[in-house]
Amino acid sequence: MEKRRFWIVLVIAILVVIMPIFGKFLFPGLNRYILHVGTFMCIMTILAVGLHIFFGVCGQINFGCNGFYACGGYIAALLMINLKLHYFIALPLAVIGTGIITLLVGFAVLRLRHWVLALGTAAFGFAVFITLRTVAVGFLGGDDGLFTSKLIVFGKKAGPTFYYYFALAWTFISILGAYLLENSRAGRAMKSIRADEIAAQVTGINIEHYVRMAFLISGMYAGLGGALYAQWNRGVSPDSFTPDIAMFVLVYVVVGGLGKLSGAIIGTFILVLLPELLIPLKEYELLIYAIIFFLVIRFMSEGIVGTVQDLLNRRRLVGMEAADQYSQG
Amino acid sequence: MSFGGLQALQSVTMDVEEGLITALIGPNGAGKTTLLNVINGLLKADAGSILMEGEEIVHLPPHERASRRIARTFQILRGYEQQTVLESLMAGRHVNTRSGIFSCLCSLPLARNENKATKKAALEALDTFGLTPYADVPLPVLPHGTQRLVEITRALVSDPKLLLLDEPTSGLNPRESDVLLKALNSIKQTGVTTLLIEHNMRLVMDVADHVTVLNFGVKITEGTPSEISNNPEVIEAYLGRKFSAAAS
Repeated sequence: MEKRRFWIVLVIAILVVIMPIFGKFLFPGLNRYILHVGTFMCIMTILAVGLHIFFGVCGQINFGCNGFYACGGYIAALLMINLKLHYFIALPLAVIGTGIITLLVGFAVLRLRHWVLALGTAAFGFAVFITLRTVAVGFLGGDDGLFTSKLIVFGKKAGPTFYYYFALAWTFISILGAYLLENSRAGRAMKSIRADEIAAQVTGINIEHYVRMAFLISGMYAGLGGALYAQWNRGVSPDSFTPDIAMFVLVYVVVGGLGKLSGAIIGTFILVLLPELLIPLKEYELLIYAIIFFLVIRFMSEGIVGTVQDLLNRRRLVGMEAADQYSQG
Repeated sequence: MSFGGLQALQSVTMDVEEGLITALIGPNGAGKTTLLNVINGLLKADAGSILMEGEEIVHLPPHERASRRIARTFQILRGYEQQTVLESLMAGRHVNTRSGIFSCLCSLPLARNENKATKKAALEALDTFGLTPYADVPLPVLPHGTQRLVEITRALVSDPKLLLLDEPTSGLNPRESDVLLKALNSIKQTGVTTLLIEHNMRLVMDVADHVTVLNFGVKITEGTPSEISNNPEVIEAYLGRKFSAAAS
């Protein structure tokens, strides 16, 4: 089982790494476009994996991840423009900065739980969006946003291929981090909180601490996504960080399969790709998302990954039951 | 301890002797579970003190009491629904490990070694209670009795100094109760201090070294199982005055 999973992951990893080369040969005219979608997908995957840690693993709701995404993007852009820092220095600083903001927001918002927490975080997302549009226009750029300069790497101007691999590398790191976290002491503590807070407390788990830490990590993931976006997009503007983004990421995670890392990744892959394949229907994007969301909630409550796993496991469980009856005589 | 105007527990004083199994019995609503909740901090006592190895713990939040090795099972099975048996036992080792969240995220050597040790301890516990075949099975798929056994194993896997068991046989069939009795006897041999709430008197008489009886939030009496079973006050509390008169 473990071995099979390892091979699946390896094959997918190789496929996404060589994807641009194939793209070049198969669709020569579309290469830039494919890389664009690929890079965007990587950024969204990082956001989805971050939300997965807070929502899927720790069981708390966050409707405001566009806020942290924006923080990452704007901090990176501001550092590069005002302090003339190199992107490679601005990126980690943006992640740390977003982490600090997340902690501060967490002190207020994490006093809430369940649906009230959803409202609290959504309020943060909206607040950031509105702040960026209207407050300190001279500094934050208002509706126009901020523009960053070209990135020079090893004496060469960074192109779409560079950004794709750069984002992809960070995506791999993020996924690996989430995987390690999930299968560690902290991850198990978070899962216990999701399952039952009272039982978790009695096992010695400090709920407040772990919820705050999960929030922090998910915020830093979003910040990383934002920092990647800022340079790739050659700038940031409020339009890129609308509260819609928070909803999209939430849908990715739920449709893929809540509580499963692979669900967050596959959900993002399918739902980022889908509108691109249905470009004629672009106007109805939100409607299509909503329909998919409701269909999944109604008919596949475990999400895409969960449903597929259930189908694969059914045979195994039937075997177990037979063994059980046998042992009971 | 009181809920609004209702005094649920009133100046209950009891000792749980180290290394022994103390049973807490009493009719429904006597405050047994409330007492357990006060001991591990899920409910805050209005007054009084709780000493663990001579140290005051009454002001500590539940997770800190747990880290002083007080483990607990519940009357109604609680939680861990999406976890496999092995995972849930590994989560039970939380207080025995200390790697922080960032060391887990980056899988630093400390986190990695602890992970290995945790897995080993969990597998050993599975083996002790004959649960090894269920290691990778999600908890809700298991029969009720096995789930109960897993819950007790999860409490024991943290090497507790005090084990609080809230009606471990509730909802079990006789066959499952027997398995549980065996488990309790093996717990007794390992010398874990246990406080047991139980309605199944046969089981109490079998495993308990000491029995405390509660009724309406007040301690009626305590003593060895045989003393208790002949105490007229206890019979009255369970069966009413008429029967106690007949018995005496």
